[in-house]
Amino acid sequence: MIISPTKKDLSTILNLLGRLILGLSFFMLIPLLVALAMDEASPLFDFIIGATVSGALGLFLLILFPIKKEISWVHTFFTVSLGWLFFSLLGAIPLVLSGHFGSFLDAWFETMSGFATTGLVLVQDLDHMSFAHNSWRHLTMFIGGQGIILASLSILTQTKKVAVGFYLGEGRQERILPNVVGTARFIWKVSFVYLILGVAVFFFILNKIGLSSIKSIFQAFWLFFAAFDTGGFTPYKQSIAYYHSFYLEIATLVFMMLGAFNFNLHFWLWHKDKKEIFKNFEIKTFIFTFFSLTLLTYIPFLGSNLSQLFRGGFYQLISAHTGCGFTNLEEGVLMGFPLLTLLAVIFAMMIGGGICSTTGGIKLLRIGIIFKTICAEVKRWIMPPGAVFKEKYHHLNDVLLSDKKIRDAFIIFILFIITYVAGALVAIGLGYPATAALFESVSATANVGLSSGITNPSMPSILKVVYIIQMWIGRLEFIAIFVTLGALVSFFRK
Amino acid sequence: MNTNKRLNRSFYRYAQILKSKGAVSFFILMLICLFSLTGWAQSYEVSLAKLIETPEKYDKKKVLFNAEIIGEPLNAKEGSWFNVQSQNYNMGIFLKDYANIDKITYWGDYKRKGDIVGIEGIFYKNCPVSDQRAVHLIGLEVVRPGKEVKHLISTEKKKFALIGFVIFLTIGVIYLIKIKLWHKK
Repeated sequence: MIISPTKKDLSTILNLLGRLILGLSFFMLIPLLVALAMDEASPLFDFIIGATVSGALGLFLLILFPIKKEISWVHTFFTVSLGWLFFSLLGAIPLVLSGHFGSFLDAWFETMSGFATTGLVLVQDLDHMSFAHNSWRHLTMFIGGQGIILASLSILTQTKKVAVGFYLGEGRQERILPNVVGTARFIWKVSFVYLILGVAVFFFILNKIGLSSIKSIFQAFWLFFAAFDTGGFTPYKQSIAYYHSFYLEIATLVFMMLGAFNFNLHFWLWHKDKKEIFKNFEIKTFIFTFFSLTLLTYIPFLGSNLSQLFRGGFYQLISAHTGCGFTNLEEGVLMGFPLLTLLAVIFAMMIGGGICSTTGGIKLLRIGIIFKTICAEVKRWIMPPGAVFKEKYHHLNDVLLSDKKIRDAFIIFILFIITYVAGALVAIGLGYPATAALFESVSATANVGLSSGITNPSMPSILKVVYIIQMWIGRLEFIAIFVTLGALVSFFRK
Repeated sequence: MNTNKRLNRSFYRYAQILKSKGAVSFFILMLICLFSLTGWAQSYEVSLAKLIETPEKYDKKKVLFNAEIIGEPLNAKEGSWFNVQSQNYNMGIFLKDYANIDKITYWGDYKRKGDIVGIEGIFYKNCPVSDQRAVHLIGLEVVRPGKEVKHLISTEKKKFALIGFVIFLTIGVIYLIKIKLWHKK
């Protein structure tokens, strides 16, 4: 039997959505203040419009739709799915008014890419964009990466049931602390400590290479948001290649890897056992996948010097594996790589980072479970009939490889693969080459942001919509969206 | 008088050499050298788009192109970098001689349209300094100076902002009244 929402349920969902949208309008005050501080009059008006429209809509929903039912996980799953859509749509208002986007669809694509921490861009003439609009673009990644819902969760609600629903709906399947609100607050605490550290490091490097103090401070924040939240936006079209700085490349590598680690692991290292890093199943899986893919990447690069190996392969591979999407290569260089290297980068994007992190993709834990299941099956075949055999792995504690864990891992794995292939087929159908099409589809779904060059303002609108959907479902890992769609169908059938 | 005599004598000798077969060969050889030297120093006048799309064709060759200066000069170990853009294509330019940078007045950003400069330099697919695609600058000329950009705010935008603000305030007041009534109940 499917749970079918009633009108009371819808009223409750719209009320929750109203609260979130009100939260968004408050976030828009940040770029508005930036516009004021930097004397950018036109962007100031863009953000007044964006904030007031969002605020009015949020209040309108709160007035018209009171909470009529006790909040359950169905309401929160609905709110998560719709929340991402509404955030990206409303967040696009100031961007489209900036004049840097060809259409509202392009601006929507950009904000969905930001909130989903993807990093694919359709912005035009980025190098002449205002501080305020750039602040907003990068802030979307911070809000999305830390979790739109988690952000509001820490502020707006103390109800445990609501919190758990929001948390799971966002595709985060592990709690760090028994209390999920506590978990949310810990994630924020970790992020703010790294924020201070990251901004200081980036500021120092940027200032040293010649950026003015004011530019250095803004860009330090932006680069931190993009690296730690594995988003990948930059204030320049050339991405990290703009800066021509080896030290900056190293710093971005460190912060994108920190962002890709499981927040649970951060907690463990901060408060419990530091040796966990050597035993952790996700870390072991990362080491295995990373070294295998590095080998694949470097076979075509044999004979190159160390600098070429680092700048050519290593940086892109880490950027892909962590789902960040920064690149230190000039335009068109990436797709000129040999096929084997491109495949390694595609596989790295497919896998992604830790399960409770800001990355997208299938995630390391699931890949590890799938590997372990295959190994366990092979062991079972060569064991005597009737032998009892149980497989374990160490992820914070010793965990039994149960049927449920295997099933969950395989379901998400298959759903991701289907989405990767489906997106690629659409692009191939529109006339793009197969490798580039697969590359872009994986990049969108796994929320990476490296581009084969397909994503640009002149690409077909249908493909823009497909990538928006891929970024959305990839970020929420299917479940919340499937629950929402199923419940909606059931509601309208009734 | 002596000088004139000496000049006449030299001219006579030179005419004699030219008449000989060896001189003809020497002249041809000089011509070949001149042509080959011109060929070696040949510059390719190319658009930035073409340079980026067909890098193999121009690798390690002298190129000439026009582009807008963006951002700011960036310090590096062995020199400096700056970035240019043209028709939505960007490129990093490496230089050792800082005097070239001093020619630039406007660096493109939100408030400024950067100087349009003519860049002459050697294009590298893998630049020896950074192992990235880049141009090593030989010379730079400002073709069209940049300018301050005034971003005008349209009347529609102002109207929308005002209407949005009024609607937001109205709904906000209604919401506050509703909350007060709810608390009274």
